[in-house]
Amino acid sequence: MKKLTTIIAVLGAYICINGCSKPDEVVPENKGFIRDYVLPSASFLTPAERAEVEAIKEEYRKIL
Amino acid sequence: MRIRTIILASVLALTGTSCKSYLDIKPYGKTIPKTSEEFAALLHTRLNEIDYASDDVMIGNASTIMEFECYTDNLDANLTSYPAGNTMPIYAGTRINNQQSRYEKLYQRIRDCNIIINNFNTQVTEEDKSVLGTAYAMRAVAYYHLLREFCEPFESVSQPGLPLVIEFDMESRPLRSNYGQTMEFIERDFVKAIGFNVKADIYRYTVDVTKAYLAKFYFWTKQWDKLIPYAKELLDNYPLLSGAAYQDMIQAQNAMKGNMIFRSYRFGDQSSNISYSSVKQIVTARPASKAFVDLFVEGEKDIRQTFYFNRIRQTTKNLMACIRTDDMCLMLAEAYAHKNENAEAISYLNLIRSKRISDYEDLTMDNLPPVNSASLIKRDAEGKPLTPLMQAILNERRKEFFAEGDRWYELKRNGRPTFWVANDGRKFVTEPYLYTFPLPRVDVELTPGLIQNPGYTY
Repeated sequence: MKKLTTIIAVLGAYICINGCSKPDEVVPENKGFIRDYVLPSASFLTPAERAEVEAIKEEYRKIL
Repeated sequence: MRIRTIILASVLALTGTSCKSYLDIKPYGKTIPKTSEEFAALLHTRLNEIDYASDDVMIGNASTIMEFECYTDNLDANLTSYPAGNTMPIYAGTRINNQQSRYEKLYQRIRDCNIIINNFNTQVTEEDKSVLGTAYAMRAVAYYHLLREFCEPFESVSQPGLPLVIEFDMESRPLRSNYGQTMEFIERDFVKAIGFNVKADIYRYTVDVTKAYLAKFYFWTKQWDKLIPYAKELLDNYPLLSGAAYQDMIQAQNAMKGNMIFRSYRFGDQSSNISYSSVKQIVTARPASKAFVDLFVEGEKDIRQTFYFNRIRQTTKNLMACIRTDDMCLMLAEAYAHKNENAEAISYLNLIRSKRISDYEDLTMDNLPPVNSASLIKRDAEGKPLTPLMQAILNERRKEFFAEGDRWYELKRNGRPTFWVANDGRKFVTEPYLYTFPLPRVDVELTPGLIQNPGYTY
């Protein structure tokens, strides 16, 4: 019985060690599946820029 | 007896665990095609995508063209009407993260070509040669698109180029080559493809189409002397059209006519017709910019003005992905201008203008309009301030290839100007770095040493 226990213990240890032969082989951790890059956030228009856009729109309204 | 069973089980367990990488064996020789028909099937899958316009990377479709026009100053984002314009990008940044899939799709085409180039060694029949020639041409064209979209404009051979994948290996993760190596690789593929002299139209990347792409590649990489013979040959073989024949060519939804040598939508099925009509409707939500329409100084004498857009500047021209030899003519004009051979340059400029404008009188070096200080492009592809001649060539190019997705690459090629548009009280700026799309984040994270383009962080 003692011999049997020893064989099972040795066998179990061998399988455990061989079953994890390359612990570093896993894909590096990827934080979820986020693929996006950060983009510059849009700023608010200054009064001068707002006037410029309004002039473009006004010009277009005239041809409608 | 019991001991014997245990020993037997032990031996089996040892045998099983000793073959730890039995699933890692690549199925070489099992899934690779063998006959020319099988290799050709790989190509025809891709060529069908172009014909029916489900392809959006090798030449593009109406949706791709609209997207790229929306990134530019051809259409005025400030005037977008909503909700019709909800699906249109406000500026290039809106879609910048989606461009990663273009990179992946182009490398999928390269993978297919690599399978053929590396495994199909027969060159007995014309069919064999057509298969190989098309594979080389498609690979070169895919790399050419990657070069334009994912590398910065060409300044030096040492700047980052592309990862060169030359064989089918799913585990390979090559780093970026330099620009010079990428250029050499693409040129070599084009030359090999031309050597196969593919004539069968069913392969689409015929010898003439390949030469046209090679000329465009030389144009992008500023190799003016090299592009000239190819562009001249094609222009001679496919002369420019004018008047009704020109309009008919441009507005044909499915037929390839006139001096057009490559296009998507060669055929239309229900799906492609529906998406085409849908895009044509959507694009009317964003009018052409006043600055662009004002370039047509000859008014309705210029046939393009009569059918490119309507009275309220909505696009009525076909949104078309194609190659036609009008491009060769304008590339010749620009190439000669960069070489300071102005007489040749202006002759090609006059050639195309004479085909578009009725009662046309030639431009001369003395009567060229002055440089427009309000123009977005201030410097040419060589970084020099615009001359009246270069301004006229670039303006003509902008007019000729409106709604064909050309302007975005023109802005990138000529100084990557910064400009902004407004939406909902906010200002969206097209910064210079946005002209070069980001490599996929997955690739950058999984490949140590893979250089990302400047400006992209996460």
